[in-house]
Amino acid sequence: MDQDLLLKECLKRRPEAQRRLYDHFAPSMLGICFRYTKSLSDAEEVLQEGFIKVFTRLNQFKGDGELGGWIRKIMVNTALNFLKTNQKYRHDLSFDEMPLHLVSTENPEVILHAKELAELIRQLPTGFQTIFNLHAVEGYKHLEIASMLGISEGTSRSQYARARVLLIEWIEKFSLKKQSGHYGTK
Amino acid sequence: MEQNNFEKNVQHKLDELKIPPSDSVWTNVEIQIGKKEKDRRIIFMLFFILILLTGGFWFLNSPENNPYENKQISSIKTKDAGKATPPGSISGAVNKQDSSFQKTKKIAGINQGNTYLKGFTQNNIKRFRPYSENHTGNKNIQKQINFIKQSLIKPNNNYSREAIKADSEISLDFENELNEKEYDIAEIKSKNESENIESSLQNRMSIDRFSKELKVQKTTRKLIKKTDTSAKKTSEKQSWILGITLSGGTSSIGNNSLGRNYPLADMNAGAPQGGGAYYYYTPSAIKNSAAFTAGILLEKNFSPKTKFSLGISYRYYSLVNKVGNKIDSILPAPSQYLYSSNNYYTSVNSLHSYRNNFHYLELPVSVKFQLNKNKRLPLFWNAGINISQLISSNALQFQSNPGLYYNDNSLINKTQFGLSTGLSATFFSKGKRAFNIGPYFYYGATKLANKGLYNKAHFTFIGLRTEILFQKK
Repeated sequence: MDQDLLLKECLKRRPEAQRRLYDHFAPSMLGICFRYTKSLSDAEEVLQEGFIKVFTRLNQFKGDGELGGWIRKIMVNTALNFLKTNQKYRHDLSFDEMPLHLVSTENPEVILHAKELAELIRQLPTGFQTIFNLHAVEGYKHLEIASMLGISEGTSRSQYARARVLLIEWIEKFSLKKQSGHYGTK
Repeated sequence: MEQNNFEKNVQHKLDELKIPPSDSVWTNVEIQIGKKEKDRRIIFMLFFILILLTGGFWFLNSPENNPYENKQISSIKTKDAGKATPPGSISGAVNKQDSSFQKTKKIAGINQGNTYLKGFTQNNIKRFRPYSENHTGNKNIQKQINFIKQSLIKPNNNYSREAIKADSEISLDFENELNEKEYDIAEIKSKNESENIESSLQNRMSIDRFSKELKVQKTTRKLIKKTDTSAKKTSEKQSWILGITLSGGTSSIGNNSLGRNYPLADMNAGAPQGGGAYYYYTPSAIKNSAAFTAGILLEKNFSPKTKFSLGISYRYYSLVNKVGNKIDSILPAPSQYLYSSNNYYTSVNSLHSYRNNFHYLELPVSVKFQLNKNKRLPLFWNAGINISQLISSNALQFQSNPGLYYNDNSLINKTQFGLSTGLSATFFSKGKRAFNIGPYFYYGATKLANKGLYNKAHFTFIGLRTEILFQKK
């Protein structure tokens, strides 16, 4: 079914159309939620909340961009809210002011699979993980991240730099071990 | 630039990440969406009902509808404004309506000139205090009790003096008798009276509280039922469709359903005819007036082209006639009607319009037959029967000699059977909310009354009927 038609049917609150829309976007959106959380059940909780918002606010989608991009934005915001309100993550999300850390210029080749890479990102401390996801993957600027998380732009930058260093280190180690046959792909 | 390569690489890799969610996620999403949709529907319905009720209330209470009652109220107000009301007392209007209150005034007056009675009345207050203090729920009744207490305790209460002076002669005689040292009889009488007042107040309080509790219980039961059924509804496919209905038009009696103006001959109404002991007055013609129905319905498909529906509605019909000036005193009333009459209007100088309101609770049952094959705009012919019960009415009856209008609802048949028919076109029949609209006709098969002004008359209603059906798709 054409996406516009699907959207129209969803706006009429037709359950079949809603199910189709969900089936189309849910796997990729769970991938996003997965990167922001520490467990799959948490990711599914975020996904559920996100899709409820999608269906109840679908009339707010103006059609000026991709529907997928709009849903993605909702998922990211839902994930951030989840992190802020959930007891498990709230404490880890508190950011200490850090001295500005220069971003390394290392650019290792990422030979890992998507899920392996996502798993490594999830191993980062929650603050690093969130900022890395927002900046490196979602493409938000540090100023935007600062306002989203209620921190200073400098903190966002330094957290990102540290997260990047840590992640590159882990990617290199993981890639080496993978090449030497210690780890198998899942 | 090189730095961006890593980010782009990561971004590209992670865009490929797709994890199929478990089935429970969609189930929960579906339930939550349904709940939100239901909440929206309930809010919409409540809002609609609120608008209807507000509109109905405003319509029924607007000054244009009953200029007489307004005049009467304003005259009472001006009378009351002249009177000095003591601080802390409740309004004169309440005093006028409450006969037990007048009794209290009398007792207060008796106490003024008689300190002997003070003792036992104060004891009575002490006796009743725990009850009144424990039951603080009804503030108005509490106020009344406090006022009674004040008037009983204070011997020099100016208000009580004025009240007893302004009151009937019976209380003055009673006071005189007391002054003639018939203390024992007076004591018993006063004691009985005060006990009666207190007990009547207690009864009223308990009745009020009981009815309130009953209402709360009923509402709770309804809510529990609602939640129970809503839980069932999610699991079962429902074949009944819930809807709301609203009809507006004109109600009439007799054949002249659409006529709005008086016939010329009727301009003589109100003038005495005949002669000597045989003179009589004729009543003015009864004019058609506004009517509406509002309610909820359940609809079910019998076959692809036949639908069955039942529901519950509030029905308001009105008729207008011309009456003369209101007679405040009941003295000129014919004795045979004295027992049931409370409003009297003269038929002489029938210059004022009086709206006779009829409020019914109605149970309509109807069948719809589709007339065309158009699925986008189906046309239906409706036919049904209605059973309705009169809730209240202010309709006037007429006495030709001496030419009086009066209110006596015992002459009206309270339960009515009616037949209805109409046509309707359904818009948005494929959507979530189907909208039916079309002309509607109702004929009251039961006579409105078997005697009196509405003798053998039948109600008719012509108007436009709308229905909103909340279809499950």
